[in-house]
Amino acid sequence: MRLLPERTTIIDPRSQVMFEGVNLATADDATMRKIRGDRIAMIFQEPMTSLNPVFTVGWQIEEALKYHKPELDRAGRRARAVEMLRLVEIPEPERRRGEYPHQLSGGMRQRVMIAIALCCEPDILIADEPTTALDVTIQAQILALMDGLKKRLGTAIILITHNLGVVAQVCDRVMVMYAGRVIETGTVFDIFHRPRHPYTRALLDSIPKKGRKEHGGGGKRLPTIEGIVPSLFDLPKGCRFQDRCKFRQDRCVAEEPALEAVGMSALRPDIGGSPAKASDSPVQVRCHFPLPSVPPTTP
Amino acid sequence: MWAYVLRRLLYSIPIYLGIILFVMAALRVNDPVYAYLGKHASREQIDQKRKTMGLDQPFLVQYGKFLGQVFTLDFESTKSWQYETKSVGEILGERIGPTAAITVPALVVTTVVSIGVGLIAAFYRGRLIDRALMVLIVLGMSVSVLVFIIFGQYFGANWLKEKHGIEWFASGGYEPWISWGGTEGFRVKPGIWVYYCALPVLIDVILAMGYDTRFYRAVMVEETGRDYITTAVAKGATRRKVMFAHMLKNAMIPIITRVMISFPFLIGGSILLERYFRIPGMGNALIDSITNKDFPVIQAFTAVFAAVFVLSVILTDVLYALVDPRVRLS
Repeated sequence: MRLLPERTTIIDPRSQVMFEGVNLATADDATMRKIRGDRIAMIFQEPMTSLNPVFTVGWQIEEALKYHKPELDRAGRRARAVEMLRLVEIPEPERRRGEYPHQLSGGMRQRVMIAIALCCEPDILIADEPTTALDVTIQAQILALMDGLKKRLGTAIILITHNLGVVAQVCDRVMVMYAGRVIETGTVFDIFHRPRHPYTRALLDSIPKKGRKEHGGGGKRLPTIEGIVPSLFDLPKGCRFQDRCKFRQDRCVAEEPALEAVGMSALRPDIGGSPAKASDSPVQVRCHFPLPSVPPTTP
Repeated sequence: MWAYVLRRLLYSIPIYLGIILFVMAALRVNDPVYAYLGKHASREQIDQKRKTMGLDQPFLVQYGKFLGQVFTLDFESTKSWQYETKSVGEILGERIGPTAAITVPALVVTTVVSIGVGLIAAFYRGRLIDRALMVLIVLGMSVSVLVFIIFGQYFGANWLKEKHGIEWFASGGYEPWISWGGTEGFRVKPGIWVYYCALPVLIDVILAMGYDTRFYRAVMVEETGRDYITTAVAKGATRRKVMFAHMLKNAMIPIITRVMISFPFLIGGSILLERYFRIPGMGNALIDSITNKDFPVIQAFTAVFAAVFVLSVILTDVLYALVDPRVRLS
């Protein structure tokens, strides 16, 4: 989306972010403006501060329409804003349209953010930790809402989160990232049941699970990943996970592995998900020594 | 909202009464009559003066009388001491015009230009434009006002006139530039205003710009980092829309605070500028009255200035509520 200040952002000149034949990494401002909000929309982590406090929520929805739907007149934008508020299940949308963000709760504000993002019916919705700042019951409501809208409007959602429970619940494909690199991609089933990268495996092991006491030495402590994430200013030469990896070998220190396909998705149709999508999605891992494709030893 | 304004006005009354009490007491610590007449005045003269001013009465009576005059805006009944034919009201009345002719344009220009420059500098912060602007601005505020006045008078008035024959600016003095009544009816003469007022206004703007621009720039830089600015960009807003709609409206609270601080000086005027450009305004009048121990004028002047100050504070709060929906007046 190129939202970060350009002075402080470095985009590798070789990198490409392709969207319908346009490289977003090098596209000019006018092109980016047409795409932002219209084709690719975004919602953010902090609903409390993401809305402008001095404009009504209706104004803020209508603003996006003003940029991307010039065919709508004032009344048309107004009607659309109310419609969007109704779509995100805000009660009394006509009245709420004229209210200011400080009059709404966190969950309501995130709904308004979703309404702003979806009002131009984008192809992609990027949700950057949309539920992190909300409490659990509201999280569930927002996720259910996003899931329902995804199905109704046909918008693809890129969900950025560190909450593996959320991933398991709402995602189709998963990309696991570590220190700025994709280290493993696959379907939800692959990632959760046959993790191939040591980091993914360790991450899954560190989730507290009912009845899994014997897993982490002594039966009391939750397993954790030793050490800390390397500083992005001082990255190791080889694999970025090398310092914390239980399976490290000399080659891991010498060269950084590439993201390579290690087989096809092992999706089991009986667990759910869509087999058609899974069949053409290979499992890719950035590791010299990927773990064997077997389910982790379940207790 | 009007109920709020009314209540604030009522709350301000005790504050104002306190200010007047203090001012009147302070002005009477040294006998104003003795100070005015000097040590060679006879007993009778002093008693006479004291009696006409009512200074022989008990303090509370004087206090009540003066408050009565202030609240009924009756400054006509008291005569100035140094100009015996003129009332205090006449002096204030004829001095406000020249002062406002300088201070109002100066405040408007300073505010508009500073906000503009502040926005530009914040937008290009760290780049050459930003640094160049900031260096210029700091230079402008670092040079003494006296240097600007002398250079302005020398180059703007004398040098232009003698070397180039251009007589656009005067090195001092004042003439009314708005007239009404008489044979001409209502007339505005901008040429006369430029001739007498443009230089002092320019100097005032250069001086105030330094503080204002840096303040507005800081406010705007803070605004650019807000989450809702990112949201606006993600919606596809243009830079101009982000700056002038999203940032500016949020920045209005500190801007209003800053502007309203200068508000009472619209009436008070700048003593230095009025002095050096020989403009018969309020600042000049105040200095004049103090040096000549013109007690009634000093007292009335302070009362008016304090009133404007108190009113501007109320106005500030009302303006806050107008720009920020989170501020509720109730």
